[in-house]
Amino acid sequence: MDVSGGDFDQFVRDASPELLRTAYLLTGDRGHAEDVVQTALLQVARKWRRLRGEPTPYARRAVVNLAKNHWRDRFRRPHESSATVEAVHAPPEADVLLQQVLLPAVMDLPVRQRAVLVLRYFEDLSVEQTAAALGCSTGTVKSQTHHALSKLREALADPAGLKENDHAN
Amino acid sequence: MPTDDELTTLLRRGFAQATAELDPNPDLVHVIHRRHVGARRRRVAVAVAVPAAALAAGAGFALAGPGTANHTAVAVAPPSAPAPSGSAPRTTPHTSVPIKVASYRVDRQVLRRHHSAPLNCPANATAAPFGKSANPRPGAWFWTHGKCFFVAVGGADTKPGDATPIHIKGYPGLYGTLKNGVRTIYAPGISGRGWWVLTMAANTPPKTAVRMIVPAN
Repeated sequence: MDVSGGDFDQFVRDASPELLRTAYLLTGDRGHAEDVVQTALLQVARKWRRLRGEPTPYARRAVVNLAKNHWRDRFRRPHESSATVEAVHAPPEADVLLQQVLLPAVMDLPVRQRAVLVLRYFEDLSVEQTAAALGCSTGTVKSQTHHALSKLREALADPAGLKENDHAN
Repeated sequence: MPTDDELTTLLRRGFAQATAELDPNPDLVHVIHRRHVGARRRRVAVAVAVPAAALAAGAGFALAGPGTANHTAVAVAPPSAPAPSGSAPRTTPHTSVPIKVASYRVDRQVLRRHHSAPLNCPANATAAPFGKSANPRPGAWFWTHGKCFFVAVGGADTKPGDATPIHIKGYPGLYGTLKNGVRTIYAPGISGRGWWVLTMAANTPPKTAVRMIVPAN
C-alpha cells in the first residue's frame, strides 16, 4: 500500500470533483458529501496497490455505499431535517422548474432510486456499470429507473401535490 | 406528460446546475494523506500490540512429540514460540501494512486437515524419514506430484549455523539444511523469537512444506 507516489495524488485530483458531485446529489448536503468522499478516498488509499489500473469504479461504489449509509443513519436521527439539494449552489439563472420541483422530487425518492438516476443521468453510466456500482442486477437498475422516472413525472405534472415520501429502501 | 427522454434531459440539466459550483477542497490530497497516515499508524500499533499482549498472556502451543524430527533442533516449541492462529484476535488481515521482519505461525487448519495420510498413499508409503504407519505427530501429510509426503513441525531456539537461505515466493526469511536425505526448513517465529522447524524427506517440494506455515505479518 504505497500511496506516496504521484499516481494516487493524481487520481484524487482527477476523480474527486466527480465523486463530490455524485456524493452531493446522493446526500443533498455539501458537508456530508465531503465526508463521504474523504472516507471513500481513504478506502481507495488502503487498497491502492490492488486497485492499480481501475480505481474509479471502486471509489464510486464506496461513495454510493457511504451515501446510502448516511441516508439510512439520518432517519435514525429524528431532529435532522430532510435533505434538499441546496439552491445556493445553483447558478441564479437556474430553471425554476428544476430547482423548485424536479430536484426536490429527486431528493424525495428512495435512496436506491435516487442513486440509479444520479449514476445513469449524471455520471452517464450504462445500466451494467450502474448495476456494478450498486451491487445489484441490471434488471433491478431498469426497474428502479422506471419507478423513479414515473414518480418524477407525477411530481412534474402536479407540483403542488408533492408529498412526503417514505424513504424506506 | 414529459417522455422519458425529455425527463432525463431535464434531469441531466438539473444535476449539472445543482453541482456547477461544487468543487472539492483544494487541499484534499493533503487531507487524505494525513488521515491515511494516521489510520496506518493506528493499524500498525494494533498489529504489534495485540499479538504481543497475547504472547505476554502466555498463549503458547506445544508441538513436541516423540520422533517428530531427527535433527539437532529441539522438537518442542520454545517457551516464547508464537501462538497458533485462533488464539489471538485476527488483526493482520485487516491491514495491508507490511511489517519488515518476517515471522510465521503454523496454520492449524492445514495441520488438522492433513494429519492423516491420504488414502491414495500406499500403506508402505516411504516419505522418509517417516512411513505411513509411523504417522508421527505433529505434522501433516500431503499428496502432491503423485507422491506422498510427510512434513513434521517442531520448534527450535536457534537455527544451525550451516542453514542457508531458501527463496520461496511469498515466504521471506526462510532457511534450510539438507542432510542425510532429510530436508529441514527453518521459519522465524513471531517477533524473531525462536524458529519453526519443518522436517521432511529430501524429495519433498519445499513449496508443499511451507503450506504448513503462514506469514504472521
